[in-house]
Amino acid sequence: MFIYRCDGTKEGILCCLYDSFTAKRVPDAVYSGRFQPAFDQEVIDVKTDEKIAARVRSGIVKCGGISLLSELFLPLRSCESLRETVVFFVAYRCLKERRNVITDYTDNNVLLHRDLAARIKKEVHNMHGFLRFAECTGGLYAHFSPDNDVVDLVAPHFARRFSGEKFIIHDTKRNLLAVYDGKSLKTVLNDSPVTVYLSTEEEQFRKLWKTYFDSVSIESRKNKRLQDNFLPRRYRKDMTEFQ
Amino acid sequence: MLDEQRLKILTESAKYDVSCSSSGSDRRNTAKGTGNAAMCGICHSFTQDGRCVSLLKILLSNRCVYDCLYCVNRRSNDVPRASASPDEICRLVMSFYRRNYIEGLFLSSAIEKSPDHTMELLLETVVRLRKLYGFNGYIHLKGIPGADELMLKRAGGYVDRMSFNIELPSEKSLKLLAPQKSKKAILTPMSDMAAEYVAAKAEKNKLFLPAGQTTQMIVGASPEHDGAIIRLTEGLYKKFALKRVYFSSYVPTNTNTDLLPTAPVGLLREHRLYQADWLLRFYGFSASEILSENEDLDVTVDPKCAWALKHMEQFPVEVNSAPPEMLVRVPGIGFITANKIVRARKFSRLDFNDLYKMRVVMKRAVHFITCNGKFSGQPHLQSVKNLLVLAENSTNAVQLSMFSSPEISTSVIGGQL
Ligand code: SF4
Repeated sequence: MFIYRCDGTKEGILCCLYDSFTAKRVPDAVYSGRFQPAFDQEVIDVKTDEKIAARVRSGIVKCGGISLLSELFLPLRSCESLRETVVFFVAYRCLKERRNVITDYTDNNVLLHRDLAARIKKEVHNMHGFLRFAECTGGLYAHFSPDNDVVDLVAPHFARRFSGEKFIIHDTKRNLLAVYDGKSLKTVLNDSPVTVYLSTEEEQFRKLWKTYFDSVSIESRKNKRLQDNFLPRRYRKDMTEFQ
Repeated sequence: MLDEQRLKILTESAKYDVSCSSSGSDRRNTAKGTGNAAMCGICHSFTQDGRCVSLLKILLSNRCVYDCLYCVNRRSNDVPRASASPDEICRLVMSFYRRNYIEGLFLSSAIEKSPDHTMELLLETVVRLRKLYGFNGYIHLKGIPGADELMLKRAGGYVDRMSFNIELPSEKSLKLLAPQKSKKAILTPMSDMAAEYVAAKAEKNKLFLPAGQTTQMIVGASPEHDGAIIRLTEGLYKKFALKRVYFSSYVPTNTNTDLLPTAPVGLLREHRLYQADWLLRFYGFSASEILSENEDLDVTVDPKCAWALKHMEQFPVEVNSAPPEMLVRVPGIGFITANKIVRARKFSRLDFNDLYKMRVVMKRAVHFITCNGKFSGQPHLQSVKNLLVLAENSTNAVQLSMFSSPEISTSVIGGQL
């Protein structure tokens, strides 16, 4: 009965896998960061080592190529605390059986893994639509608070779309900023408050947008449940039409 | 600048056009341009009635010289009128798009003065948007039947999708309810554009209607049966290479005439028609398999269940060996689940528990499958039917109208049908 504690990065998980295979021991779970183990659980701290990680990484590539690698680690962006455990066990099985098991939908870990990955992909797709920019002096600014850590997955879409413009996308939950200067994108951690100055036209377009939004609803067909399903209420605090 | 009041007038009546899809095009951004299109389409918001808001749906004008009985903008109706200039539309689109309110523009118009005059203004708007404003986002343009052919074709080179609405499911109804329109005036441009579209595709020209053509018809304003509607739909797909046929439930619009029903059509009928349409497009069904010409779709169960109940001789199928095209015909197994089954059974033989975990809708599927030879459904047709009706009632509330938008319907390809 033991658990691994690592830094929660891809490399951290890879090093846990290395320990597991070399020391021939299988954990109950894998966690990162602040975590309270149960009384009877021994905690093994795994230090991240780039070289070891690289070796295990190439082992995984042998099981299913580069595409397996990116798919495998996607759930690490999830907000669920079982993310590291799930990634660990799916990777463990791939390495053990020397094949890609990510489509074995009878395996509970695979199912959880697919579920977390699907939720992340869905959130990225949703945010391509739900994100709202404000025109500010100096560029466009959007704030949002996604469930998962996706700001750097969401931003490239807008870099393609608004190719010549500057913009900032602000994940207010994690204090992350995706900054686009019109040429390249980078993600930075930012703890200080962000102040923006709205352009003179901004208020007017917000009003027009709200007018439009209200006028396209068909009153006689109200179906809030359906609306809640597609557009979760927690997202609305960042969206212009619900202010 | 367009003010709130005109915006309201010009968008209020456009909302009954059900197609809001922004899918099917992968137009790229240009060096100094703004925008691109996403193949899968993107929903930007959802209205209180749960419909996706993707495009800015707006009329250039609602001043109409025609008098279609089912339409709020008909000449004889007393409603506030407004129009916008091409440049006003362009500016609104750009401002909304940059704020990521919308995925693009759905532009339509009432017949102001004449079809040619109207089409000219529509064309001017889209050309301006693309050339002057460098807009590369999605544009869906409503074609004006009866307008000059060259103008229509030219428009096709600037927009992602065009639609000529067939309006009503039969020529007879069209004559009765939309006296100034004719089947020929609608189908001719549709078929011209289809020919042009096919030719452009063959030449790998990606700029002519990359997202193809669609059409829309009003259901419930006229007496046609679902069987006739589904046959017409199938024909439209085959003949005109249409991407989508939309159905829009008739909503009464303060008309004093006995030619139109006074009550709106329930959304359930529209929903069933969309389900049947899905069977046509994705599940390999033909119209004649789904129902006969003078029949209406069963309201108590979805069309796939209805078909399966009539063909019990083809069931149960063994999930561990059935080919994928048979798996998707099983009620409760959709595309995504069928795909999961096919991939997972390469690892091990599946049992009922595995199917549950893969989110097969077991309360439907169980009567139509075996797992390792085991069957655990109901043996009698009537009890199967009763259970399916029960299962249906518990899901309908949320599901209604999901199928009208491809952006959100991908989420239900899973196991729902
Ligand atoms: S042509 Fe007919 S349907 Fe179109 S706006 Fe005029 S009255 Fe309405």
